[in-house]
Amino acid sequence: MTMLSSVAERLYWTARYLERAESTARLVNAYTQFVLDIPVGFEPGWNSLIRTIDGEETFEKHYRKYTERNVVKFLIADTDNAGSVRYSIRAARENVRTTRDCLPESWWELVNELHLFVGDHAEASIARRNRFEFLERIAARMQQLRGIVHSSMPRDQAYRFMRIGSLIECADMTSRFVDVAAATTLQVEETNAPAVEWLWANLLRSLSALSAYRRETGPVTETNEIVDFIFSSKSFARSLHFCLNSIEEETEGLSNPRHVWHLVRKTRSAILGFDAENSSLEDLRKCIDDFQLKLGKLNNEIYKSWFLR
Amino acid sequence: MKKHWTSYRSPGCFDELITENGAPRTAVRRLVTHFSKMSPEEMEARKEAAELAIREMGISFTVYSQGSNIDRAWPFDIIPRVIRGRDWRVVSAGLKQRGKALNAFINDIYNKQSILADGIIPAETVLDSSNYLEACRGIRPKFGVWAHVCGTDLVRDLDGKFYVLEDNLRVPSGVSYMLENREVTKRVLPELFHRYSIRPVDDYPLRLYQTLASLSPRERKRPCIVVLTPGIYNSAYFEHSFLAEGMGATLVEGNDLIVKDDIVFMRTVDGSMRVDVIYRRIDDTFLDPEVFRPDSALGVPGIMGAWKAGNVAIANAPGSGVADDKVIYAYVEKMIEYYLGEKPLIRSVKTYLCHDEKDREYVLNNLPDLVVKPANESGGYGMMVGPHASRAMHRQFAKLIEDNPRNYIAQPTLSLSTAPTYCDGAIAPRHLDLRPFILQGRDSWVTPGGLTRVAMREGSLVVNSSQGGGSKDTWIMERRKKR
Repeated sequence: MTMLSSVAERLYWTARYLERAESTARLVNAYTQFVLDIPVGFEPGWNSLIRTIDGEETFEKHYRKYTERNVVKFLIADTDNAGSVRYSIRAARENVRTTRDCLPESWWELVNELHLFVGDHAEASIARRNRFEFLERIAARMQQLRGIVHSSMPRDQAYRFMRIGSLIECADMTSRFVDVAAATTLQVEETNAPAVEWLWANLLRSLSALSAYRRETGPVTETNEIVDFIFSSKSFARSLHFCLNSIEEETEGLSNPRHVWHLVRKTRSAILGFDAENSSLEDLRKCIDDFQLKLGKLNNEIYKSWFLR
Repeated sequence: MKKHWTSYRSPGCFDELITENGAPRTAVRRLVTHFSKMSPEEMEARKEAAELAIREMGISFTVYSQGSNIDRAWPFDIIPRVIRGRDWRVVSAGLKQRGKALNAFINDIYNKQSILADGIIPAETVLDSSNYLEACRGIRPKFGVWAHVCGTDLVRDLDGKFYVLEDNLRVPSGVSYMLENREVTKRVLPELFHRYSIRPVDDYPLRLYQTLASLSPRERKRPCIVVLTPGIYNSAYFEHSFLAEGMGATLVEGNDLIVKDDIVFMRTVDGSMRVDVIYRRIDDTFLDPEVFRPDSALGVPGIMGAWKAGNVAIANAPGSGVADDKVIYAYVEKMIEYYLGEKPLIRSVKTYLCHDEKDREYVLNNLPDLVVKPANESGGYGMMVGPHASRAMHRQFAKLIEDNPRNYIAQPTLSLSTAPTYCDGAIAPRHLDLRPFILQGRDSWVTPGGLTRVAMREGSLVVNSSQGGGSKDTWIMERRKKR
């Protein structure tokens, strides 16, 4: 049986929001860990986290200073910021409510529970003391939800639209992680803090990529090689290359995928064509900006092909 | 709990389980023994288990009803209400008969209007009703059936006989509670199901599917059926999604559908797909903003045209509400004789029509003994139960009736039957009614039992969920086959 466009759209966003919540949780966690390692006096600012999710405008409406507390609050507990963990999970829950029949039975209860958990604990988890455990729990629950989808959902249209949603969001967020690392490196280099090497290792860890990287590239963490790995690894499930390939595969089973394919291919060749070794961090950031614009176009094309019919 | 059961007496009403001298009715003797052997702790534990099961299964109720938790606050009583199979067969036949006559009436009203021409029902009572939709004139739906899903409210009076209190022909709800109640009882009192032969209810979604499929204008093995809901904020949304899922149908909102050249399509990821049957759970005046309320954002522009062209079936058909009116109700027995040439198998309650001069005079003189209802409200709103109302209320209703007689009917106060109900640690009699559901398409079918609603407050006669009513599982009990 075919699927309503409105339902497909909601499933797509359910997956995007959940992916976003998890990624934001990982990002905050990683940055916190990183800052803990920096000697007093050399701490980088927290504003790069806001910039990377394009949240400055919303942020400045509600907060005056880019303090750790404000930034973390904005990313975890804010109810207006469409990028915050709390907002994303609530939005996902709203979508799951009306698509329960397409999802595994336990999903609704788990997502609802997660929503209640975040509502109860988000504010208290801004403090460093509780932050880690809170963010770990969210990441763990996401793994559980993903596991259920993987093991019990039929590979039908519902599955495909969810998968496409989470792949796009994953590619988007991964590129933003790299952007944060690049921005912070530039910031830290000015103060000559001895932080750059573990900043990039930290980036890998936050993407759960450290051991995969070691196996593929070896234990030495070179910035160029890390960028190269995150951009173009064929096997690492969060790499931009892998995400784009998977989007292409998932759309094969849908009607009328040609326009989407065209954009996926264009985006992929831009990423694979980036020469990390001979580029500056500024070039890297420009490339990431461009990648995000392309993902935006891809999102529009997905709308045109399946949701606006 | 033995003491509670031996001292239990109904306050002068027919009781579903216990006779007037305190003995259990034959069919439920073992059931009553089972409950009376339970310790108070065990009874309480079962009740808690039921509440837990409801919360687990029905999380949806609370979260779906946003702002008003009415549905979820509806208490469930674990002691089932039992009806003997042979008694039920008569009721069931009566309900089919009534459904058939009502459909014949609706079809007649929108076509020949012979019942009006023959003077059986005064034309103005029908044609001036706000439920009569001129836009439906001249339409002949398949099998001449308009009201495909009908929820009929039955009560049992002092004599133990069932009477029809109301026919709900627009968008009757509650069937999901009926199914849920059975689910809960099975979880909480599983041992009872071994001992008795209780007719299952869970095939309702399948029967509904078959009924709707029979309406399809195109001959197809699997016609495209959709359930049209007003959306998540409707209090019955859970039921809409529950039924869609149970039928393998698609749950849609108005903006998922479009009409092109009098054909209804739904917007899908594979492009537009033609829809054959719409089970609509929105009121008919919201269906098509081009024909009825232009401000309706819930409906689908052009859908009436598609229906009139015979390209899509709508259940219940728009306009069915013309037979769902408390004034028309007074004529249903006459309809049965007029259209079917039969005697009614279940009786209606004697009804006084306030626009009739003689009836009105009687009503105004006997307000303290009567129940007065507005002709056009549902959910128990705006009614007056004479014996329980103050003098000021009587005066207020006398004025309302004199100002707008067409809008009111009155009925004698029935002594609604009771059943033992577990309230605050004791077993007490509570009044109840019954809403079975009748499906009509190519064939007709009646749910075995239905939704039993209980007035949880002592002495109260109002069972509506919006007015503090609860519910019970309803068993149609067959005699066990001898081995």
